[in-house]
Amino acid sequence: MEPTVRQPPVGIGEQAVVGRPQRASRAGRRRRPSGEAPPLPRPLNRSGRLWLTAACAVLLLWAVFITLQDTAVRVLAADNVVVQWVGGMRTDLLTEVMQRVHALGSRWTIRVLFWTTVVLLLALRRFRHLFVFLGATLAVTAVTAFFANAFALPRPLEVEILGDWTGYAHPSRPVAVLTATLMGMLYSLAPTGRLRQLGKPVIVGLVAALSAALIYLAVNAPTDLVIGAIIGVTVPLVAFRMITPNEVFPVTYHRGSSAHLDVGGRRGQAIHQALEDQLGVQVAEIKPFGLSGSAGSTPLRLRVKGDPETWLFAKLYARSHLRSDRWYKLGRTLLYGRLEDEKPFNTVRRLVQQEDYALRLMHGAGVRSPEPFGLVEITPEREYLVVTEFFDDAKELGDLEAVDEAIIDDGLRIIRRLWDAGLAHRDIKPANLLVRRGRVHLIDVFFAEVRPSPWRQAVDLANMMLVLACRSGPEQVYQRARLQFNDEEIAEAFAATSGITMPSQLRKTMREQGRDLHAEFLKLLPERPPPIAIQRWSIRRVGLMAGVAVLALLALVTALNSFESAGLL
Amino acid sequence: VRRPVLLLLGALLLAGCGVSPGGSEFLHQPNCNYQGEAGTAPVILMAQAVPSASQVPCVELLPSGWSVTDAFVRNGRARFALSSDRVGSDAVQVVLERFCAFGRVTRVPSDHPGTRRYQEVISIRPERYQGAVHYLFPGGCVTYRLDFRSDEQARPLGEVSLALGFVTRDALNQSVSDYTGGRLRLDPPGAGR
Repeated sequence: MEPTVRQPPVGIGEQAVVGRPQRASRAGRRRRPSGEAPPLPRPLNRSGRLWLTAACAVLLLWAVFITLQDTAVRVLAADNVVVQWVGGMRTDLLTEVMQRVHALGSRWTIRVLFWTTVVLLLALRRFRHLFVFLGATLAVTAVTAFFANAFALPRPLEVEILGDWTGYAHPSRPVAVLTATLMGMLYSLAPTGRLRQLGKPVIVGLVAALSAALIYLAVNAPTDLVIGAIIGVTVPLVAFRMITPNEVFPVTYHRGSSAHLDVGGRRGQAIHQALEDQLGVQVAEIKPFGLSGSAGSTPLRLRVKGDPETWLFAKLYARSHLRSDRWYKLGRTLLYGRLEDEKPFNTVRRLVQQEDYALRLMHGAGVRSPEPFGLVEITPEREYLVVTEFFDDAKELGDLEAVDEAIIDDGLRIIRRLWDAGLAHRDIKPANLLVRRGRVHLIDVFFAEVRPSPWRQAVDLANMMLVLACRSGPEQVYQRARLQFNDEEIAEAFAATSGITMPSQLRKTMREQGRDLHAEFLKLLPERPPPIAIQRWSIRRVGLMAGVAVLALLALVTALNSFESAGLL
Repeated sequence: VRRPVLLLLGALLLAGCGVSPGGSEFLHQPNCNYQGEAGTAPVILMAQAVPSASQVPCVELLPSGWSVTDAFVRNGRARFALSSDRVGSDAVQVVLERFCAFGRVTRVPSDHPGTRRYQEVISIRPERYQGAVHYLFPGGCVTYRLDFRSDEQARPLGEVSLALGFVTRDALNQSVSDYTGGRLRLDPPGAGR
């Protein structure tokens, strides 16, 4: 075996990081004083607060009234006057019409609306809206059932009931559930603006029609319907406004990953303001950038005002990304065991601090990577921007027609520097390697790890060689690699690498070329290394797998029970 | 936002659980009598479910070890169950309907005035007895579906007979009238049974 070659080849040993001539001007930073709202606060908006307050007041008054026998009797009597008056207008034709309208509140109508919405939200991958929709609808059915049983008010008295009904009358379950389902559909499927505004009178019309039918058929009295409608509007309205505010989780129908947040509207304004206040940078334009290569954040390109105008790169992280990171790590732990550090982040703040730290570490280690500009707080503990230098004249390595020896050496030298600094990038793929003025730059250092396992460092090398070979050839890359790494290190790299250790973009690129570069590299090695096992079995992993399976089963059974008791199955 | 929501929930829970008219027993137990009046809220609702029924099943007095479970009322049908710590949960299902479907029944003398009683044995196995008792009366029919998971039959059957009874529709009409201070009655005026 050859001795380790530590000296880089001639012409590729200069300092990796050189001074950046182009810098965005930064002036006029402003500290947010105590008590001032953050750039993107998350309160309910005015109508949400109004609904909540009105609903609280009405429900409280209602609870007090209904629990006093004399008042309850007066309410019943007043209700009955209305029901009997309407009952006096009954004709055969009108009864038939009203019985058809009554079907609006039937279990089958609700089931069709409910499950159609669930399927649509699943198809649109709008999971947050889906969970709010499920939760709000189940909450409305549970609240309605609870209070119906708690107050135990009869169906309208002294009148023949002509429609189908189940259980106590007050509050009206069909009205509450139909209203909640329609509200849920509106807030999870209709984009803000004209369509949503048009939807509101449609809901009012449908609920009013059902209410008229219920009174006509003497299934419910007016107060049953009013309280049912209040519950049916308030619960989903407040839930959607609190958990999926339009500014943060807008309903849109443009294509894109669910990881990518909308940066227009109030969030866009907040980003402008936050960048100016916190970094002293005046931004002329914010545009999503490189979305196809990113799934864990929303990457943005910022055009900075000045003469000349300059560019910055930013990644927007929100709680959804934190949750994705947690699920990703849980999935890896289940699939492979504790292969690496799989501890999830607790907060978005810590997540962005890690990325900022990794950027500074790379920079300090002499790896050619974007210069960090700092963190920007959009909503405390919820949304942050990681701002860095933008390589405006760079091309993705994967987009180049071919790469020459200088670029191959440069790419390999990045790995050498990472190894020497005790770092691993952990996401070497074409989209994260930019070529600018003939030099390779490493971006997206979020996954970077200090003192990684030797296995992980070896995987970084193999992935870099595979990426470079996609635009040259394995023989050429192998020969250049031997100038910076010995045969044992290269063999270890390909022993450590298998399909799952390669980023999906790299796998896709190789698949498109119809080549198995991994196998071609293995053939070039003087000795074929035995593959390094990546499965790590432990009692903890087995326990975790069993726990997740039990929890998933419990969640499924609970959900099915809830749907069944809510009449949705 | 959280504080008012919690306050509201707390208030509603208090209202729902603690200070309802007549208390929990009135609201949730299908008793034949409550504080000198015929029927409770579930019994009135059962009467509304089968408006033709001249009698409505109810609980006279629950023997020790028995409890009412799983009440369900919809138009055309009302049901509640009795569970026992000795013969199993849902050992008796009491169903009120306009009409009954009979199996191989035997008419026996009725223990409730104004009703005809039919009895049916479905199966007798070690530690399990399944049968039914039907009561027919003008405008309705009540079925007790019995499923005793025990070797005992006679004693639980006797307890069930003592526990369950009937309240007449007229008595319920009077009860609603008394409760509402004469403002309302159960049935429309002149509704003949």
